Amino acid sequence: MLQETKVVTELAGTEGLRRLEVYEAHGGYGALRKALTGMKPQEVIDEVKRSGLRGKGGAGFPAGLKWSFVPRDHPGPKYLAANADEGEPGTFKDRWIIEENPHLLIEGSIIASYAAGIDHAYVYTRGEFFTARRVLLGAIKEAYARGYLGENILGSGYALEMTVHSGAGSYECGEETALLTSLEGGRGHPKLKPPFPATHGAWGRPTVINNVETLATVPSIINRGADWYRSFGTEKSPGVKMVSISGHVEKPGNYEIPLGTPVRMILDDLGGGVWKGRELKAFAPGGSSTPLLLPGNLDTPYDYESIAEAGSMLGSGGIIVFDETTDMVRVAEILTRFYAWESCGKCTPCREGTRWMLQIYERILNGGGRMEDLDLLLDICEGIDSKSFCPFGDAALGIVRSTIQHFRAEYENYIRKHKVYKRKFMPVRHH
Amino acid sequence: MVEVPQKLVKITLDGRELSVPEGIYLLEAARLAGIEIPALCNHAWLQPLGACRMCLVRIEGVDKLQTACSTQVRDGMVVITESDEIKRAREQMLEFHLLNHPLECPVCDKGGECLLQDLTERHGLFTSRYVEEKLAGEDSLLNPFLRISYKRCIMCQRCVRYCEEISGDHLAVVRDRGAWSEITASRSFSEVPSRFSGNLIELCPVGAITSIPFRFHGRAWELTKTRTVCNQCAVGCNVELHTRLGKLMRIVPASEPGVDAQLDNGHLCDRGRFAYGWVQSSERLHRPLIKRDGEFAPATWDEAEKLVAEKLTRAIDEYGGDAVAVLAGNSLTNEEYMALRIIAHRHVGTTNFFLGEDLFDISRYPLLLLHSLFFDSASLAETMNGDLIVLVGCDILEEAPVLGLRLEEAVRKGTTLVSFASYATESERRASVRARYPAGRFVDAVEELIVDVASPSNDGKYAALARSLLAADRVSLIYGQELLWHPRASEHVLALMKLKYAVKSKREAEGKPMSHFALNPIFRGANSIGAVVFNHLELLTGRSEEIRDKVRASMKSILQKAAEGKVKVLYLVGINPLMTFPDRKLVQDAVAGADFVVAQDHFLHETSREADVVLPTAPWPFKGGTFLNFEWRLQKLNPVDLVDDTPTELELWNRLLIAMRRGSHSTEPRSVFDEIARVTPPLSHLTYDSIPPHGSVLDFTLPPEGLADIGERVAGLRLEAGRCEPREEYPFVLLPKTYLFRNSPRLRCTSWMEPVKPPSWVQMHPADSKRLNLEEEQPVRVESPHGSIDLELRLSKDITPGSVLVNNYSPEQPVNRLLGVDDDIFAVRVVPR
Repeated sequence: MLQETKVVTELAGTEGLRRLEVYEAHGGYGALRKALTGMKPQEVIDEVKRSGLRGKGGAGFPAGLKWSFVPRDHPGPKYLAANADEGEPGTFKDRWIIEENPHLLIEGSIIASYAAGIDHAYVYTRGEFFTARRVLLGAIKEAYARGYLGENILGSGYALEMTVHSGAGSYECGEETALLTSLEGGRGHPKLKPPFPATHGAWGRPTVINNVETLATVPSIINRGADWYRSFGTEKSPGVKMVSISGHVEKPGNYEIPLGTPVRMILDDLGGGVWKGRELKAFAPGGSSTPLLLPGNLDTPYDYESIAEAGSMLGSGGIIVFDETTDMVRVAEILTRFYAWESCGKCTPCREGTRWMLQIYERILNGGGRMEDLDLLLDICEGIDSKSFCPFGDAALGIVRSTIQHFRAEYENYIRKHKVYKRKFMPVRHH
Repeated sequence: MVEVPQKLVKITLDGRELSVPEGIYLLEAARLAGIEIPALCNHAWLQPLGACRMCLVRIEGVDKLQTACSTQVRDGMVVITESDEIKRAREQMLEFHLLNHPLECPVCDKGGECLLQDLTERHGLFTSRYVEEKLAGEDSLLNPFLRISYKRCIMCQRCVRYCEEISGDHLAVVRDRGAWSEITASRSFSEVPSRFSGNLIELCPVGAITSIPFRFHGRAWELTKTRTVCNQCAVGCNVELHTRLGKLMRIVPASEPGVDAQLDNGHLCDRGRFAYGWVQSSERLHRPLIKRDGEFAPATWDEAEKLVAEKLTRAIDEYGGDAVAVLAGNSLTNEEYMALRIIAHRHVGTTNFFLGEDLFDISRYPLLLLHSLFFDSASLAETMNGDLIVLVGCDILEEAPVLGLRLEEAVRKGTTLVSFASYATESERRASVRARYPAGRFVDAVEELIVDVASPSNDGKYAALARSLLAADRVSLIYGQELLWHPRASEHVLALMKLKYAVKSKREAEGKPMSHFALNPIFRGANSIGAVVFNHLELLTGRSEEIRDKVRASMKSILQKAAEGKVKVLYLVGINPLMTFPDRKLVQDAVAGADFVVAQDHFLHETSREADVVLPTAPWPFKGGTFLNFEWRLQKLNPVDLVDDTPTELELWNRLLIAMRRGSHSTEPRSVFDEIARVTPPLSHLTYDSIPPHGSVLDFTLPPEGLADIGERVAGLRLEAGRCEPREEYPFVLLPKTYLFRNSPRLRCTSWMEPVKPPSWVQMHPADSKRLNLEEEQPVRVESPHGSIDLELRLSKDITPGSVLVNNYSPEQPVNRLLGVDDDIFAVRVVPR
């Protein structure tokens, strides 16, 4: 029976954990003290590099490496942007971290900022995170009062300001350059890379952008060392990962597991298996933008490499489970609607392509599908694939391609019989 | 901006090895090699966006296709721009672009000059697989000139970026998200009008933004196109006049952005672009008018010419040539100025003639002053490539808008901009130093500045400005209407000359002589420089001593003579001094004092209405000739291929001379120009036909004889600070402000310009209004010893306390009622009414 490996979630359930005293009583801010009073910034970076900590927002980029890209001798301010714009359907770990244990994020952010020589840390929270924002603001106030933020932190001479910036409710702003544009006060449109944020980020200054979970992992690594962290997971995907299990399971929720755990064990032992005793039809391994996997993939180890080999992505760790009764065309339509609605509109293939696909789905579910629509959908996917400005375009394709690939019969059933989904769809209109 | 020799890198483009400048984008590199990569969102004016995805290319070693518009060349880069994969990608992108784009090319104004249409022809598929419902939305207005079609927009964001990066007015913005994104106006047009919105028309690669005045007036291929020079301000942008069915239909820029970057680089201001409706206006005069018993009555040309000839002849015969006085406006051609000069001198025999309406009086140190005007200016290229641009008393975006844009372009590329003015303006937005002098005390302020230049480390009032002046090797100082539209304009110019030589000698003393320090005046007229030249042509023909001996008649002295009754016939050519001369009373007296007033003009305006005879002449689109712009760029005007029922100036004067039996004059600009070139050494290398399309910047390197010691002379000259203390009963200094959209007859007679009329209110600092118990929008009376005008009060912190700002071209409440030509400062008081 798989048990959780608690690193980020170690203190989960502790009474009053949001309060600074409680967090401190459980060893909180110990890692910060250790880093600021006993380690040079480069030593912190080296330790995190050695731990093999990878970004947990979706791309899996090594965190220590990212910090080391920030120019040391750059004049003027440098920034950290903690990415709390968690909008991926099926993922809800970052909100949980902030609401349960806000000081963990603050502590991790300060250590990361110290390592990269940052002057000002921003937490960019998703627009809809009303509670998380309130909790975080309270915690930051406490941290300032206790001297963990502001001038001369713990007598080390290091100073850091922290600001919470709330987004306006756009999925796209989770993309790092769009997050920066939004942080600067502009429309949430992605920026050209190069130049990369590490040298030309927010307001043209060097900027590190890290996911909340990544930052929340840092204190444990500093406390217990890189080797301890490496003792979990696989060679290429060391450490642990939070997974958000949702959909047709008995016990949906956030769990933390060592990377490399087979998916079957995660779903059965932690998620309580498919609900109502039904069979599994498919699952998305890493949030709504990752291509679906089938029951045959259940024994795949849950790590970056193995999931990629199975034809999908580990992404942000949101496992969405679909039972045997699920209408996969409807699933594809729901998610395509999400992507069409959330496309920022900057580049042409994503803006036009996502809406076009949605219109085709609506027509199919309204009983007006044509056999050539399946090839057309795949062709539209091909037109967006790797041609859109940012990864958003590609993210919208996984569900369309994998449902057509694995569940073509369900599409054909709609089309042949002119089947109409339970309720009639109103086509998308302007305003 | 220091010019660094460009490093070259080697790239391979479709198998061809090329050496291209380091750091340029692939799209540009391909263009240099003659390879066309299609692109929609990219534009020479704008930073790359990478949104339309039309310019995808394959770069060896990179897994995804890359956008050529945003990829900088690297040494050894191997690029493929033509392959099946890329052809397919272009088809796909065009298919996406056309999904919601309506196929209404036959009724779209852009048809025939539409980039999307062209690219679809070249790279697209001719069938659509889209069977769903297209997005539909209503058209809306961006401002009074621009209509935006929601349906046609392809979201390239060129307009949005122009408003952000170039004009900075943030007029067009994006609303909503994804496929539902919409370009919309950020504000209603009763708020700040934009000065450059018309450029969005050509910038739009499809027909989403169209010109309201031009809408449905003709297809691109039906228009006859004539290249000429705009006559609305000192910049002289190159424009194309498009005519059809005997009418002027629209004005568009003639320069290609990024290619013809000598002057306007393809930008036009909204005044230059849209203020053309007057040419066809019913207000325009087509027949001569003769005043009988106080009423104008239409007359035949024969009658009018006979009457004017008779009056002129009688005045000359009875009182001598000086009984005739000629005043000409500042937008005539050089050929017309030359002709007028010759006619006045030789045929009429009067010394009472004055060209242009910009320098009212140059009687103090005329030779020094003219020396600065003739020899101190820099070309735009020199200014843009210099280290420092100094704006002095000049709201450049209002006075010479496109020049303002080019200066900001230079600032983006590394030139420093500083500003010295008595109130805050938008033109200072990119300035690194903004120094303020007290309104009306410019000469004192320059004296103080010169002290700070001498010892910049002292913490003087203008130390920051002094230090920037001393830090630069190549300086261009641009001064404008706040200094020039003033009775003491010449004193202001002398002060600037003194500043120039103070900075130069300080640098020399430090062993770092400057490369150049240019002084460029921005006058109001399109050919004010030409007027100055032909008023004082002796300076160029090597007879400068004549100027020293005989101060040429000034506008002020001529008006004074007329007011004293010494002028029998006052002949006005394209000039409206009742609005533009800073002493309304003097002009009224002059008009009343002359026995007979002839006005040669297109309209009945404030001054021509007072004339005895009005002779209509052909407007600017129908004229040939040359202009000299602010940088002394000689540019050629070309007449449209239409016949107007009015004569040109040259034709009219020839007819009058014949009617007077006093010889004749050429009616051809070409032959007049060639005569000018013959007698003027700096022009001797040019003929009318050899003037290049973008004109030629005249460069006078040799200072005239006797002015080698100019530095010492300037250093020694004593400036007249003037009586600066406002008298107690008139505690405010009035600032008459020149606006771009000033309500001149041409704008008044163009119906669609109505909404952008500048405010006719008086602006005051809140601290002053509080003291006087005056409130925002309160009706007030502005009074001076000369008269009063009634305005509404507006509060603004841009104005310094102690001064008030008034629009200087408001026909209902003309500001020159408050002014006197002998005033040192414009002292006024503001009282409630």
